[in-house]
Amino acid sequence: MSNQSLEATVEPADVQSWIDAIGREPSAAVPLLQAIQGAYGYLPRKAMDLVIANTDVNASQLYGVATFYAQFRLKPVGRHLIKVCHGTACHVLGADRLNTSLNHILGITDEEEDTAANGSYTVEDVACIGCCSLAPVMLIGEEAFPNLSGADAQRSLKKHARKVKEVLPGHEEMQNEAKAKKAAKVQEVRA
Amino acid sequence: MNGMIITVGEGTCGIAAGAKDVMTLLKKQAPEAEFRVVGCVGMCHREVMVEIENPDGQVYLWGDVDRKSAPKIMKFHKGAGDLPKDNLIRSSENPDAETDAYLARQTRIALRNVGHIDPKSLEQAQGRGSYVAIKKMVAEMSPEDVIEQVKIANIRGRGGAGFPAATKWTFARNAPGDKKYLVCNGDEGDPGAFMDRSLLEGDPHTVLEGMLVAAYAIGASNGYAYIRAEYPLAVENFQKALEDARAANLLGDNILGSGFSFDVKIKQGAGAFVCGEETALLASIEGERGMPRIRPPFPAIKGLFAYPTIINNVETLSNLGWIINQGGKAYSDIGTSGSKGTKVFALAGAIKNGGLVEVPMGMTVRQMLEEIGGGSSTDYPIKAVQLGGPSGGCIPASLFDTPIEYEAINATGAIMGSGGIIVMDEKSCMVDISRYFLEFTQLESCGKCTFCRIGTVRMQEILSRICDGKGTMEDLDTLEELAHKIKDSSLCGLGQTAPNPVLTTLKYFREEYEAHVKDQKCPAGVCKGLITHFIVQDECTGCTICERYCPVNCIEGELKKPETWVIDQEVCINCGMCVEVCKPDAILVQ
Amino acid sequence: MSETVSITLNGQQVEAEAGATIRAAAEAQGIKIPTFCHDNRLKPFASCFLCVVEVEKARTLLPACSTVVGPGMVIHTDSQKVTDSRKMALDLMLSDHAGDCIAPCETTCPANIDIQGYVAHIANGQFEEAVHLIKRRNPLPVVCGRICPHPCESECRRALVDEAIAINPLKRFSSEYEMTHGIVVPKAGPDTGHKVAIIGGGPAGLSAAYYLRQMGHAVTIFEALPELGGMVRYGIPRFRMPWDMMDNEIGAIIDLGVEVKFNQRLGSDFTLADLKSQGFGATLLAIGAHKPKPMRLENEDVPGVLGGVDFLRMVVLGEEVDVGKKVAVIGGGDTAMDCCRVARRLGADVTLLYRRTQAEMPSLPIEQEETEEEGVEFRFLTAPSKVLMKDGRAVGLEVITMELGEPDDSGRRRPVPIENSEEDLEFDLIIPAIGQDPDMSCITNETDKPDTTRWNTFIYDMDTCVTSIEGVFAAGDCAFGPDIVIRAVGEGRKSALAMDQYLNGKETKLEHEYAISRGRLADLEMADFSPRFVHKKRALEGVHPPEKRLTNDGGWAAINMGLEQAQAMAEASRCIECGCNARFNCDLRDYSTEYGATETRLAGNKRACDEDKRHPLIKIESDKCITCGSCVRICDEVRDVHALTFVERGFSTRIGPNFGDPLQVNGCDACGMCIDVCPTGSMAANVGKECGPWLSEPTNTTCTSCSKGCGLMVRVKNGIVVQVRSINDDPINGANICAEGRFGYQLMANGATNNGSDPIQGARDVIFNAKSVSVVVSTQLTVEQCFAAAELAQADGGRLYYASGQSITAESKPYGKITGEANVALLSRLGAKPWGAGTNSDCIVLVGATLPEAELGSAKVIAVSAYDPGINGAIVLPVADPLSSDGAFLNRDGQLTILRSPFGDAGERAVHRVLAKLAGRKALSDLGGLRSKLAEKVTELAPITRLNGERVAATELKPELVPAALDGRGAAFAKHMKGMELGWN
Repeated sequence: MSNQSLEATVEPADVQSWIDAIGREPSAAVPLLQAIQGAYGYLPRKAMDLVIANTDVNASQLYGVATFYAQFRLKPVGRHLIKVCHGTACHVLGADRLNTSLNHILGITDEEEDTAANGSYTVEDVACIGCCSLAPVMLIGEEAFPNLSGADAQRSLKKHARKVKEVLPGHEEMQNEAKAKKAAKVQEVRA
Repeated sequence: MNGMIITVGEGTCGIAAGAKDVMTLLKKQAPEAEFRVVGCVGMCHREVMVEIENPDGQVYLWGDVDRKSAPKIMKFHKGAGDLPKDNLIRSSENPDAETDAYLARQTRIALRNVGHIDPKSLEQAQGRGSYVAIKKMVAEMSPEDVIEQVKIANIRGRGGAGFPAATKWTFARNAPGDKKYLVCNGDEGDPGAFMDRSLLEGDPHTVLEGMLVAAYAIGASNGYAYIRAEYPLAVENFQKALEDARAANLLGDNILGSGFSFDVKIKQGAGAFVCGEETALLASIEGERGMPRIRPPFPAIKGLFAYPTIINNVETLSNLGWIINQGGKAYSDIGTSGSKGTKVFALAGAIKNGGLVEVPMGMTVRQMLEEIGGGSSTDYPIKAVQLGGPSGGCIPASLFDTPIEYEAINATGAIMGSGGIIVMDEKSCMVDISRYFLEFTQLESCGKCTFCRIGTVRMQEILSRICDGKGTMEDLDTLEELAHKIKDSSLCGLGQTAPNPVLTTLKYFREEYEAHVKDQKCPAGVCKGLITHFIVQDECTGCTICERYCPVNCIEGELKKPETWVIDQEVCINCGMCVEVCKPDAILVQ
Repeated sequence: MSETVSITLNGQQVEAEAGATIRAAAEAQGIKIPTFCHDNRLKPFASCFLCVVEVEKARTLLPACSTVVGPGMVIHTDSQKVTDSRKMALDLMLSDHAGDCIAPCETTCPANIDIQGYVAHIANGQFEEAVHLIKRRNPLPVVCGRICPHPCESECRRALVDEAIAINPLKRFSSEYEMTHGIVVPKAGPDTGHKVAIIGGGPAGLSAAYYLRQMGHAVTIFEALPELGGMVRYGIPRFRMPWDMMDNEIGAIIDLGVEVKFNQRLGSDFTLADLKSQGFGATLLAIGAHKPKPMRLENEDVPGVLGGVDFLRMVVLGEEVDVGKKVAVIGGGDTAMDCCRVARRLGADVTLLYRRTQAEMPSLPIEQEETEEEGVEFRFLTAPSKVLMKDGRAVGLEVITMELGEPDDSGRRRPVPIENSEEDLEFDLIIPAIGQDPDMSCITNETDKPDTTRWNTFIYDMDTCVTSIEGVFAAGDCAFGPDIVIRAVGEGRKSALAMDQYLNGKETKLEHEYAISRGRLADLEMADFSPRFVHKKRALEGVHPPEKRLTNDGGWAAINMGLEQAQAMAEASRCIECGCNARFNCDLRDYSTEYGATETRLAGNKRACDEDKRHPLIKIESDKCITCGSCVRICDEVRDVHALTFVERGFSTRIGPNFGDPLQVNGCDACGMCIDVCPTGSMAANVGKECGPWLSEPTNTTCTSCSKGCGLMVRVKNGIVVQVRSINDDPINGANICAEGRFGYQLMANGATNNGSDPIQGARDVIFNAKSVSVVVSTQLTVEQCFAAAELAQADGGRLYYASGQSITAESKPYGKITGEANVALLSRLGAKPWGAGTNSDCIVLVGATLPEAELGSAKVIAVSAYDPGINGAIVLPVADPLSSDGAFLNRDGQLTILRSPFGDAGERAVHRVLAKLAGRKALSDLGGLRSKLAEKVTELAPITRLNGERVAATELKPELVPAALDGRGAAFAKHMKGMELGWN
């Protein structure tokens, strides 16, 4: 499954309802983007165009703001979002390892990519979420996972994936590799 | 079990540690008990924390409660089991000296209600004295009186810069304009600081009370609470507080019939450290990129939407109600000559009792670390603390007798900042920590000024080079020169303080830098470019677990044949996964 | 009187206007503070931090652009701390700046010829201008055009697309165009009274003489041989370097007033000391390297062995050289090839002996190829070991076979003799051509000898050509050792500059201008270049076949035919223009030079961005951006367009069109103000070779696009408008011009062309055969055009109408061109009525106007228009560029503004001229005549005065005439933009 399929379908009426609720003045830019991202997980171009067309927020401002704040994403997000905290405490206690191990099990190898190829999970680095005594921490959706090692992160993710019935591409690959190795060994023994 | 009161700490930390699960479980076990939810008491290292008050008045404080221990605790309370000692922090019968000291050494003003009330209950907040100050203020005090008390209290901005609050207010009070704004700065971006979160989550009414005091003093009728979007619970609880306060006529038009009107809107930050800077924060509220603006004009004269605006930090605001109630004098009796009152710190890292603490100004760093923090949590002694996050600096153990007050802290090269303290032992690399902070500021720079935008990247690149063992002694000089120039030629606080972590570590831990450069060694064994992972075959059991977890497939060997196991150094990225999963500790890092 | 505050500025107590910024206060005192992000049109921003100053008691340095002065402020604008900070700001910006200030061909050329500039001229067909540009740096382009081994081409980036530009053939083409179209001679400077002696009339000496004469110094060349030219004449055979061409070129130099003393050899005929006593204030040693390098073999000084350059010189001098039947030439350089080819022409069988393989031969491949074609036998891996003698004369060589070993210092594999492989070869003449040395015997008689190196060259400063003896300079082969002609030419110029400084009693010092480069060709990726251009083969010069080469004029006729004109223009247009558009007006460059900043000191990662050329008029090269944000702000704050924005944050912060879309879909109205405020070449006009860049003088003029009268700064180079910019502090519109003022000239250059045989006559026939004629004008024409149209209407008793389109007033669009009803006043005055349906005519002349088809009815329509050929029955005539004509119009304040534009005559295509022809009124085709007629008609315009180049105001016009007179360029734009998704009105 490619990221393409993660593109949201934008209903103009929805965008209009947010504009009606939040306002049309330039200062509404951030909350409007937050509403859009809240609904779609990212900022679909069409929704932003609707904001530009129907408010006093101009394209320069909206695009500038959308690319400035860490919260906003212009690319579609996976069906589940993993946030890895990179506060100081988490860094000192090995938050990098969470990324390494999560990317591994999700089969994400490209440095530019943050979403598994099957669109299941997106791994995002976030600034300190303020749970420093529980470092390192990650969130899958709303659920927090404290005091993680790299291996813990994988285990938690596997568990989550089983619950929400997602396939982890990296994990599948690892299993296939292991199977192939085993098969090769069996062959060897037989020979 | 009638009459039993069970209180669960459900701050973000508590929830992250599983408080919701524990709550569900306890409710099943003791359906007849009264359940209460409170914010974070600050002892984050013992989350999930549960306080159980028996019908006989005996109070037990339990820590590290989880699915396994919760039933045992309930069994004990039902008189059917042994005392689960590991989970007991203290009880009336079993006082715990360390915990008592932990609490006793603190002076809780800002945090006075946190952990004691359900943050969603206005009633409980009022039960502990919230809004008494407002009634007093609108009935008895003029705005000038309020400013006078705050001036006597001599409270300085707790957000980092430490500017006297009353002085700033006076500017805004005197600024012409029919409309003024009060902004609560809850954009707590310092990694490692979470006092604002705790306050907004655990005691929103105290923060709101502070906003009312400030607004009354400067004559503002509109307020914004700018809260990080990363703190959803804080937003939720503060929103609830606003609604309840409005319903109780503590907020909105003609508050308590006094003629004073003030209302507050929440603006959620969208993830930008620089928005902690006043002018950037205003730009952000106005819907712009959070790019700082030149001062003057100062926001107190020309701020939000060009109206006079005061921006006060959450913690500053949380002190105001207390000051109105107790008087400025009572506040200024606490602390040192230059720094009055208390300061909240977030202790994290290699410290036993990590969490939120509030101490009187003047306490030494050592006292805080040892008497409250309980010392190192590892086998190694504490070698330094990093104070003030990316804007702050490191204070080495040799300076731990420095009193916690603005001037003394500044003299070390660190800053008080918002109060994040990362405790570091011998296993922390000071070069790596500098690199971490510069990487942070480099990403968080708004990109406007040359020195901050490019200079911090160049510093980070040099630090990365040093961490990779590719640095030169000349690099150290360049680093220092860059650091001074960036401090000198940046528009806002972010740039002006960004080099502090480097300057202080260079000052106090130069030998660590030199070890990286001259000896190609990372004394703490942290920097990936300077370490190697080996399998000690004598220790290895050939269990294959490392092979399975290695993300780059650089470990190979045959099942149960330890002598065959090796790491391919060409491929290894020194991520440390293998070390983490190896049961017999057969992997050596050099 | 505004309030003031007292401040101390660099130690001086001065009064500054209260509320002024430090920058403004300093400027009022004549202290200029550098800045990138500040512009008077914009609100203070404080981002570049170049303008920092030290204010006593301030915690940090402060940005002068936005810090307001306070009473008692003590400010230092030039302290060490300030200078250091500025330098670091520049170092940082440069560390993230990528581009080529100057194209690599130019920086590689030892004489630094503006190659990109002259190639652009050739592409435009401006061959004379190309020569002018070349001759600024090289007085011997014909010589170099024939024989230069063109190191420039080896660095040409076009090679990363397909093949390098044929730079040298292009130079040859333009320089030979000069030969046939009148030689370009600069002027000798006014006499300075200083005398310079140049010893040696070769390329270095001639070049020095050329520049020294332009500076006004008296020059005497002392030449040891009977003719000038040095090695070019005596070391290069004339089938490669035809003498007539060379003589022309040298003649032009001598004609500047150079005295030449032939057959005067230093050492034997005069000494350096003599020159000093004769009053020569400076002496240049340019004696070349004419002594063949010895082979260091036994018996090499016997008859039958003749050094390569000696051989070539003797042939030129007409001395008898007995080549016999078999000649051996030893060596692999160009001289060796020349010796082979000359010996062939003298009738011998020639064998070339070279100790390595062909791959290592230093001569140009084409030379090797031609030499072989001419029947010379190449023997590789063969080295002479002994000269074989008989009767006191050489009769052959003992040679030894070599093999290639390890690479040596030059990177080429070292030849190693194979033991016992000796072999004897018979030859009548042996010509070792393995290099040459300067002949230092010339200074043995001196008491005060210039120091020399162990390679027998003069010790000298490579920047200033200064030798160890005061007043004595050195240049060319005798200084740096044998090298290519263009290097000697370059050094000749350098030495002239240094001698000029010396003669004027100044310190001899070379000014280095900052320039950044993307890197050497070898370090660049083809993938970054190749896909961006349409591939096209390099032009090849015509060369005669070998038989012809050996027989034409006894083998001495020129063998290379060069490029044809069309070929040259096509080849020149292959240039991919590496050098920056902003080369001559880049603040970043200027300040970097001033503060000595470099891109290397704080080198690190750079943001890599693609060049964005999607907009037809504006190019964004983000690689060059220093993120000052001026473009975003002018678009946002001033123009209210919002087409640009800051993207991302931190180090990645960059500037670009919203959403990364093409600029034109973001509402950009192509005003190009972003270009004006850009301190680097990041925002630039998306123009090609027609605009250089060339160094050009700016002229201030007034825009004729509409009646507003905006000031324009126009750069013109040889009759071509290369750039139009706004004028700082122009009060008319706050220095904000619109797209038409800026780009109008360019669009006109691309305008439609005449397609008929004689459309004017055809149109006249139609008009005068009609029963009733209606002339309908657009409300966008200039005053003169309207008037000419009115005259046409009257010529045949017709009527004048106007078709007003959308009305744009100065109020509705503060920075745009005003059109429509705002201009009706003037037209009414000329008797025009609004066009309305039902107006009956059997002939309608549309001047810049369009009408719905229905309104045209069955009338014959003649459209004088460049932009809408779609009208039924229309005869299309091009509208010329009004900027190319003089124009008079009214400015906003109701004053008549007259300008004399610098653009010269518009030619036959000028609108008023076309109209005059249609009307058959010759008098009107001259603007002066047109104006005086206009003045008669509209009496208020009477006292029209013409003031050269000045924007003046002198009028007694009535207010209702104020917003008058436009031209047709708005519509021309519309056409240009059609299909480019650009909205235009």
